[in-house]
Amino acid sequence: MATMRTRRLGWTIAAGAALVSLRPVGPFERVADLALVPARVIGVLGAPSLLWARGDTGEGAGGSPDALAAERELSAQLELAILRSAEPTEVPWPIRGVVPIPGEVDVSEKVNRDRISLRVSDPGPIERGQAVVAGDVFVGTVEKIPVREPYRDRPGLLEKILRRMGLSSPPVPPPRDLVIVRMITDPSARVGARIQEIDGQPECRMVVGGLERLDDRVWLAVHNPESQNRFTGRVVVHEAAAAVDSADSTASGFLLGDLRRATVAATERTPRRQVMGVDPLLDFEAGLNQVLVLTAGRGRGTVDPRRSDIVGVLESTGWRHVDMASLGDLCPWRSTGRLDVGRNVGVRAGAAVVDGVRLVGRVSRSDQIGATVALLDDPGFRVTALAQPAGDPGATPLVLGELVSSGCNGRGQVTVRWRPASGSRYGEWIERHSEGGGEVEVLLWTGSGMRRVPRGLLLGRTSLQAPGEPGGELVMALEGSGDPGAKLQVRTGSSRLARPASGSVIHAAEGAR
Amino acid sequence: MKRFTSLGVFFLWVSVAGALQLLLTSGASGPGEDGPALGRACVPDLMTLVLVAAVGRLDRRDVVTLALVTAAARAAYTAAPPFAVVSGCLVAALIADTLRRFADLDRAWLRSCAAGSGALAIGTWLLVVDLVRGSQARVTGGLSFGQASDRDFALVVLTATVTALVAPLVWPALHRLPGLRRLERRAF
Repeated sequence: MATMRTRRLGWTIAAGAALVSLRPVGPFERVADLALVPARVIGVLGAPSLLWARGDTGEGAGGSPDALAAERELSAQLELAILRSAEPTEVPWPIRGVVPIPGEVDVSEKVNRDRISLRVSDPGPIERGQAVVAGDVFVGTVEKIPVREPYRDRPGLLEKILRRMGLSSPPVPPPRDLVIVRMITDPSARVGARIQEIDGQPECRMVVGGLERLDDRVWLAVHNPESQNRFTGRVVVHEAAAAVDSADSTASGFLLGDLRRATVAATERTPRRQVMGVDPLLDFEAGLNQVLVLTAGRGRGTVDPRRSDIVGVLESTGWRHVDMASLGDLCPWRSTGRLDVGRNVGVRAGAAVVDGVRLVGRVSRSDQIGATVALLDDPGFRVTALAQPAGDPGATPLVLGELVSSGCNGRGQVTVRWRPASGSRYGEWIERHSEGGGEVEVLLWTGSGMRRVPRGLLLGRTSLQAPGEPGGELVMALEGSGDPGAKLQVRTGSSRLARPASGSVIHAAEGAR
Repeated sequence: MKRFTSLGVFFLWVSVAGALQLLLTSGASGPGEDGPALGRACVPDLMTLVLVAAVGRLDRRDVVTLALVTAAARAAYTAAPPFAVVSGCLVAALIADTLRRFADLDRAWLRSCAAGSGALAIGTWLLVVDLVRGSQARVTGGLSFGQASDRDFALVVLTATVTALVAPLVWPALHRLPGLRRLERRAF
């Protein structure tokens, strides 16, 4: 009888645990983490697994000191190139009466893909509705400056109890340099636009905003075109300042993309139709790194970053030396490791773990005494990346967007998959740097938009070529990627910018959150 | 108190098995694109093996406790969510206990069957949790690492097969693990 009761209890617990594991509940997970702290101490027994790690050079983090210094310098040069790439080259620049405020994309809000959050160097002059551009391309408008919004925290009874027990925390006040931008891809976003008169074809005005989704591509949607007879041309923002009292008028002349037309076959619900759209010049989902907010005022009309303004990716605050406690995972499809420190020193999920400036992985879960790290060769590990020609570190980097790890190959190299997004200009870039060979030797670096991962961490060296067919995928093997057996550092503290943008001063309060 | 000490000793044995499994897993590799993953999958699930052997030897009323102790030890060596590990270990233990209801685990094929099905259950369950959590994260935009795919089920089957093959060889040693006498089954 007692055995039957035990079995019933066992199945009940198993069913309950199964439910909670499929639909995670925050407080339950915290309780489980707390309950498992004593058991996790025994994890030190896994230390022999580090014998297999590649940390056999004995030269410290990031390889030899010379190699580390060289990579740090390359990272700084990449940052300088990114800051420079935010300024327009085709559009007349500077614009009289416009002061550009540089901002780094902080975390792309994946829940609402039409919003991005920026960390700006000087939020003072920024107002709602001001235009945001990246290079020559119009991105969107400032929607919200959270620090200026009313801040309320009225916890209910349950929330108060949970907070008292340490199972919940009060909401963190927004950082003062945070700005939310609504991109032109948002369904409700609209901007006046036109195609200029070319080869006798008349000017055509239209409204652009939202997305037009086709089977194999995504365009910006076109509304109310002045003429249905224009089939091609470059679409630029056109808001006449005299006619429209709109902040978009400061962005007049910035590019939106190329006009395209396509015929959509009939379906059961809709008849065959002609679709007009703007092929964007940017990958809005994962290709944004550095932008400019166009504010009205008097001052320097350009950003003009200098090498002396750049703070190295490791020189910023918020890094802490750590050791790997064990390496490997009992699930054969995963590749993870465990750090010897966790929440007790401020290590949070998503934090970058580096060997010198080389990215080793990201913290996937942290508890009171340790943290689990998803390594770069963990299949499915996603990272936004930039490519820089190995022989020309000052060149404008190619924004690759998201790379997905496929794990290690038989030669111990991490392999990553890359599928160019709609709007990626990779073809021109590869042609420019390959000198006719169709292949470029590049260094891959982390881009912006990942929580607690700064821009400018080295992923590895590889050979980049255009995928064989449009919409195709390229698999790249990385050399010189981070070594989990080396001396490591983990990023602690907040998701604040790792470094100031263009010489501004925003070092303070790092780790205050 | 002595019973509690025995459970502590069992926890230690499971942890040692986990450490050994981790050592073998992290060092395993193989040729080709899928070589490393296949190499890792060829390592037997020693923690499940210890659990199933204990269920076969110890008092049936302790099945749930043994599974929970194993889950606590296992959670230290894997990135899988703790609740998923708990449910997986419980299911593995209860499968072994169900087999034991009908036949004592004293034959090689029965031991293989118990260990293999336990490893298959826990591996499949952890894979399902990874798949579900991964697809949820893609929709909600939450932070998610690792991306299991359907074909990873082949890795689970391989691990379960290796575990089943190894079970009859190591069972005598696991059946005599010292320090567990207080938990042994009482007279029928």
